[in-house]
Amino acid sequence: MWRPPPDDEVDGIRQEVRRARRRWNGYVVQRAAYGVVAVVAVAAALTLLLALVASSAAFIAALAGVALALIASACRLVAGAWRAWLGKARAPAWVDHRATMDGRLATLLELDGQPPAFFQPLLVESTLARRARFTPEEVVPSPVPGIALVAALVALGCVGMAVRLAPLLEPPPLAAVHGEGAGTASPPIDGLGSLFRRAIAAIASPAPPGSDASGAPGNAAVGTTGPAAEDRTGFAGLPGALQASIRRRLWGERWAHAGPGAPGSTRARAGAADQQRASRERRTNAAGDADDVRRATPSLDPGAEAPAAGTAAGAGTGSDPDLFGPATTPELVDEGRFALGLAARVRTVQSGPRPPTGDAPDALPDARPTLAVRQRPDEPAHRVTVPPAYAAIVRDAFAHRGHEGDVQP
Amino acid sequence: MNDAAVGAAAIRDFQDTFAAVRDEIAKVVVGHERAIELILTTFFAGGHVLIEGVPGIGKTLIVRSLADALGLRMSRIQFTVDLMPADITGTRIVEETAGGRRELVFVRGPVFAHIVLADEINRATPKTQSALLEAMAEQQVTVAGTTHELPPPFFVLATLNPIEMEGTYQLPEAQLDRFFFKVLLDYPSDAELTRILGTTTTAALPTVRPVLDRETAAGRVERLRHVVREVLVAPHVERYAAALVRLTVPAATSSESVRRHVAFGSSPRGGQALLLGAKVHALLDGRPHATPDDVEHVAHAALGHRLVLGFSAEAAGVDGARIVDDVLATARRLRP
Repeated sequence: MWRPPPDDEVDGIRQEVRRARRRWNGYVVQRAAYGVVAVVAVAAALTLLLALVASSAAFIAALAGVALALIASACRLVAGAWRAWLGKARAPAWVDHRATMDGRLATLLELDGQPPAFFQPLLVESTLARRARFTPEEVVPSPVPGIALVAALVALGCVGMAVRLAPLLEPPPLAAVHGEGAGTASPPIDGLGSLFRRAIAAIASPAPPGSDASGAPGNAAVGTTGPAAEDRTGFAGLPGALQASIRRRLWGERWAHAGPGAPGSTRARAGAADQQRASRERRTNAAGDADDVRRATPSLDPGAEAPAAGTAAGAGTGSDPDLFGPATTPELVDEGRFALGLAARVRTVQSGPRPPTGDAPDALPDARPTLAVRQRPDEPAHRVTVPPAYAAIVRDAFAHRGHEGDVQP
Repeated sequence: MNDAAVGAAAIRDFQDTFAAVRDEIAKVVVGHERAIELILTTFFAGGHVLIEGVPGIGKTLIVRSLADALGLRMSRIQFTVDLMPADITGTRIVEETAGGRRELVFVRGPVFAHIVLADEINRATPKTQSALLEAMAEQQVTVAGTTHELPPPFFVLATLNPIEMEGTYQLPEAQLDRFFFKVLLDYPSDAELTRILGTTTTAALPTVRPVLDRETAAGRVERLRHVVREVLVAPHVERYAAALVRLTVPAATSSESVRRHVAFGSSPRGGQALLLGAKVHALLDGRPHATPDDVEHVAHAALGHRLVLGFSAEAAGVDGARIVDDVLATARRLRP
């Protein structure tokens, strides 16, 4: 009868295996956690960059892709950790293999508790002789998965870099064009940020032919993210809201116009149009009343205000002072930027002028339709006989007025 | 000497004996190292071996050399078509005693030896072949209702000639299953053939020196066989051997080639052969425990002849060795 090996020897081996198992499982958990952190950080960095440079449609598509990749990668990492997790039953064979024990360790621990066998003392002795091979430090050399940790740190660095790059990606101030040749009003912006932004924009935001400039990053600040982003509520509006939120946080409040409640939305623009229409009507009525008064009570005061070019708002020869929307607030002007309405003819440095497309909106009804039936012919005004009682009024009406300082004849 | 040292000494003794016998055989048998190792493995595992090879390749010489090296009693039975079972097991004859009485006396046949060479076993009728069944499985023979124990160790080496199939009787599956290993003897290489010609045509023929003392050889061999059975086998190694056997069964396998070409898979005896062969290999490697690698080392010899292949295998030119290769490839995924 062979004596069984001392319990403390086998227990010591078992404890080493248990420690190695714990160390490995900690390693696996850390590796999965760092991997998830890395994947999430990369996804966040990509989302940030895309939110800044991509159009709404491209951002939605890219966000969906990023989300799918994130979920797939996270699931793969978790599944990998699940497979690599070392259970109690599998631990002896695993440690045996890692420590190149040629089956000694696994055999000893699996047969422990059975009746003593002839070769068991020899197996215990030969296993203990190789004890240095299966210590936890030898089986799992590093308790921290270095590559995964570095990957997580690099990915977090990418997020920080994306945040730092955000100001460089901000589009340059828009240059309002009041006529041909005014495109050179803004100095050309060049540099690394501009180049980077243009490169990413070219990839992430391919402008479809005939599309308006609303999706381009240069005009994204106008407050529209394209027709696809309009009138979205609930879950469908999340990408737009996210994009607007990211832009607002990284570029400032003036870029927060991408959501459904943004000024660029249909509802907001309709409200603005109503306000403008009411404002125009008020001014038109006031001007008409004044004109009526002037016509009814001709004055001889040469300094009295006459209708501009003899017309009223909507008469076809003047411009609505509110054509480009309400005036910019002084706060934004102080920052050197201002917002323009969609209808404004703008020319950016990068994208160049884009002609308006689509059908022209319906004109507001004329306050005096009879004056705008057709274009006024370029005919010289013939001298007519004026009654003496109206001579002063007529002379005043047709007088050539100069600017202040001009010498009146 | 503590218990561990006793175990180590037993392993060393086994290794030394095995190596000595192998070296003695190698004096007269040129080449066939793998075949000799498998034959010795079978011998120390307590099984019987079937040797297949063309005539003149050294089958009988190997067996005779083995018997000489081990110092055991050997008998040779040349199987022919008119060989009767009694010619193997023995028979009862009428013998007159000193008192003038006549009585039936059992005369032992050639099977009563330590090493039995059943030469060209496929030339005998199935009835005669099956006379060996009881001897091989239970190490006993029953004649006229009387059971006679065979002296241990009992080792049968049967040879097959794969060329001359005319007038032969294919071994039944039950008989094949009782062979622990099937060993194939290939043609010698050029160098081996040159050595064979050089050593067998001179006046001084090499002789085999007994490794074991003739008086104690049987007991010594039994002790070595006992040492083999003491080798430790972990449950995961047993599971692996069982999985290998199960993978040869068409109804239970995940191997496509087994499903397609195998009609009947290995019996549990195949698993026993795997584990016992693995134990011998572990001892030869100086280990007191067997591993899955040891099991794989003997898988071809233990499983190949136990597979009953279908017509599709013959049509496709697939043999048992290739099936075992596929089974091993499938089973490696199950290794811990």
